[in-house]
Amino acid sequence: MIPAAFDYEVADSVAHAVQLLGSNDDAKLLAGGHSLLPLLKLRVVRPSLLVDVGRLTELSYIRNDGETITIGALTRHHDLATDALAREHAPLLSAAATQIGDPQVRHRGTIGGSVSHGDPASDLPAVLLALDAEIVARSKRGEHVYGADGFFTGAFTTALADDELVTEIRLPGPRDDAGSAYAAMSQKASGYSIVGVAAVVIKEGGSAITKAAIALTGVGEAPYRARAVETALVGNEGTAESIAAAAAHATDGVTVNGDIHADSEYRTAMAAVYTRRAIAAALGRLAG
Amino acid sequence: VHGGIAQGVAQALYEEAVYDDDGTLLTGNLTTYLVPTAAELPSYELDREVSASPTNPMGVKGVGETGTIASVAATMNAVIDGLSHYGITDLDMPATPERVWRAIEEAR
Repeated sequence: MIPAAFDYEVADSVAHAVQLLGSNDDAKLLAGGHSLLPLLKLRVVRPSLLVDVGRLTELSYIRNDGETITIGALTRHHDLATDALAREHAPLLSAAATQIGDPQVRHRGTIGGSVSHGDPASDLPAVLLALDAEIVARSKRGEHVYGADGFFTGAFTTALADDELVTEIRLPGPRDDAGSAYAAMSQKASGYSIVGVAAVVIKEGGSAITKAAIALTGVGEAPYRARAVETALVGNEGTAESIAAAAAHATDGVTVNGDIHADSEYRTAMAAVYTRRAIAAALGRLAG
Repeated sequence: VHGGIAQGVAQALYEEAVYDDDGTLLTGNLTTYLVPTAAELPSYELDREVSASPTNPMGVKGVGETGTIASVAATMNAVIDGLSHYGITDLDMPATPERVWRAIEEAR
């Protein structure tokens, strides 16, 4: 449980961080450290250089310009969960943040770290997928904006290049005709989600759902959008039976994870259950 | 006494040593082996029956873990009682959500 030797540099600005990161093929970024440090101690990862971005307080913010919610990459889960602006204007992200790990993890962990790490069971990627968020990354080569869809490519792998630092997450502003909810079943010992479901449902006038975005984490190799569920929800009035029928498609086309805490058969069943609950809760918010 | 009851409830519902086919322990740390916290446990109401021990001059008895033996059986009996309408009469410990779900699926 002692990490292999590594060099350590503290970044004093974003420019400094990307310069350090780009100077070494084998560098890793350190933000909250709650995912990286255990991997270092187990020697699963052995970077030659750690670039500590944990003091870049200029990357800790939650702003709303009316059209877009922008969140700095160093914003901690605790802030997402408790910040008044986040709770009002990014309720889905805020609700999911309350369910991450435990209070210690939420006070250390950052949204940028979670997104970059790409743990297939982390909660926030499902929310970013359901909200069609944008992920802003910087490198020595400049700025690149990724769509959440396609960003999470596999277990612990993302579309990020090795020399890129996530600086900001952008969410579309809230709309009155949308309801959202996050429902998750966690593995109690670790706090990781066995199944996590982010649901957004939109009714553009009338009683039927006109748009839906459903994303799951913990279930597949990477967080994913459940397109078959979304298709089944459009035109749906939201009766209990029709929600359950749509939710039954939660794992269509997905190779479902199995481990000692939930084999793939059980996880498949729970994916449908929690998808149903997330959709019903999202519709409930819309009605209220 | 609380700790003893907690230990029994944990054996019935949470704690499990899982090995793979090669005999490697898969639950070797606290992120995989669930030791319950207060959040996983009920509140307790305690009562006591006083009877002095005849085997020593002070009449004292050890009471550590007195709750452990009975709380395992009490918890498992409660789980089985809750599943009795499915005709379920037995379940291996710990009665995890997955085991309970599987027992219900098989009974249907």
